[in-house]
Amino acid sequence: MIHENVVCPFCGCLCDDIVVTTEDNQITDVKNACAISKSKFLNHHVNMLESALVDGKEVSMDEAVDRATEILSSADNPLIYGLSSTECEAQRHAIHLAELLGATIDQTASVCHGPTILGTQDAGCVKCTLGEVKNRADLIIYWGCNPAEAHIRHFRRYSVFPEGLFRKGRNEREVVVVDVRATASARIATTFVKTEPGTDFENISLMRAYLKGKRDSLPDELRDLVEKMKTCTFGIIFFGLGLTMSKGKHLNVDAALRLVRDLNEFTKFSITPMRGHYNVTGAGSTMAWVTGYPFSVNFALGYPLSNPGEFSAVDVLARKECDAALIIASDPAANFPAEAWKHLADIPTIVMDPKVSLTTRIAKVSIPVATAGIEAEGTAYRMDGIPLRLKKIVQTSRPSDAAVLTKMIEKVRA
Amino acid sequence: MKIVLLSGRTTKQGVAAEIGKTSDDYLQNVAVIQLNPALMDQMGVKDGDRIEVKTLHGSAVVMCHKSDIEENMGFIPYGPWANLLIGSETQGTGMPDSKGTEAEIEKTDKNVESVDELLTRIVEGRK
Ligand code: SF4
Repeated sequence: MIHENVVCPFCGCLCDDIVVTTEDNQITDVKNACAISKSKFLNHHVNMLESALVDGKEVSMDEAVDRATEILSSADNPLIYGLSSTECEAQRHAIHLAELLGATIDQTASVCHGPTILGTQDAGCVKCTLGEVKNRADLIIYWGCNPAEAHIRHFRRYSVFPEGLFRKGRNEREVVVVDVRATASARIATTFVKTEPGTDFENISLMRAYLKGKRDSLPDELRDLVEKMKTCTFGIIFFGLGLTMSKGKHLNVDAALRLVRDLNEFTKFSITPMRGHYNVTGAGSTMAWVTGYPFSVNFALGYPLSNPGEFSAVDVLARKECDAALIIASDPAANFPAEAWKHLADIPTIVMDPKVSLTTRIAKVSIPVATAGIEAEGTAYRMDGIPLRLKKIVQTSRPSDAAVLTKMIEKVRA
Repeated sequence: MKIVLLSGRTTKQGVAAEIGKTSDDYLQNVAVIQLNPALMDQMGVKDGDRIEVKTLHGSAVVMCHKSDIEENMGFIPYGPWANLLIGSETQGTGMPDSKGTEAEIEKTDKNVESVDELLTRIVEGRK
């Protein structure tokens, strides 16, 4: 059977033109996908969590969910973390569960584009869709990101190469890459601007001062870049973890957002974060419309409070403040500093994941679930905030994240 | 030798993670550090040799690969090995300093730890 227009559940590009062939409920071929997407579809059944586990012993699904709910209900300060690699309905249930438990809930943005959210709360953000970029942008700037390795089809589908309404191809667009090293993405750029690590805030602030006529001189490369920005017809900055993870963090993003705002005095300019996990944008949106805050939320007082640094997962773990954890569609033992995740081995940790992960290796309870976007449907948000529908293309007896969380909610309420 | 440590995504890391993080592919593609060839010559190491990387926060043994990165930098893909080297201080943002940590590197005969060895060391070591 051939499934057309499948949405790829891997990165924030959320490509919606994947063609997947299944035979006897097995994926046999994947077209239009990049290497990572192909690997995700074709290997989705490899290294699966075969059965529910409690203390390393196989148990029934019901027993595992019972045990998980007991652990969470009896904890004083449970942590719920993950969310960005599952669909929005599951995210909504996870937030509901956090509210019932008086838990802390955080999503993976806190270790990727959390600083982007903080910067946006401060400065606002001039946004547009990827469709507008494809149709109109004549200046495309990738700042501190490497789509050639991380968002592989971004160039082809949305920015550099596609045939848009008013921009027909590569030669009608100028591409600039700003980074601390000459990445694979820098190779396709018209201009590569190399910066020193940790100098983004300084560079962007200088550019803003020059743009506003408060400064006459600027290093050549930066001056040329500002001139390009001022004189283009429709410009866009795509930025990545080069800004959010290095010195300055949210202040770097804040400066970039303000630079784009300033540029709109001269021309049309927008800015979009290159979101990593396919539904991390959805996790932020869902948390924001349910709790009022996009990440790092605590329900201990019965109502939501948000404070990154206090209720963010890395901090809660590093300070050993939680006494139980529920990890949904994420692998903090692989992705967090060891100094932080090791607390997960000290407390009862519950993991909901389709696959064996590093965190399932140290978990007390492991619950195998359907892979969202392959074995379960749902909604996900693309990096520009456009919601798309994930498809179910393979049947499975495993419950979806949403189904498991619904059961936990019923049990906590009972 | 002192370097500034960078970390990020690579296609190979993404592909291998989907096969499984306990797979050999993952180890081969993620437990690596990309260094400038001139720096490797100075250190007397070649492609595939093992390097011990130390920071204030911990240490990791990884294989070195040639790359066109600057001489004063090293790049380790996101993953458990890179995460041995960064701290958990977030300065009130939730985000640890994952890029731009200072590190000391030297040639070593120690083995690259497998994912399981690494987990065991951290879990045992915390007591
Ligand atoms: S670019 Fe991202 S969304 Fe598109 S196919 Fe590749 S992994 Fe999937």
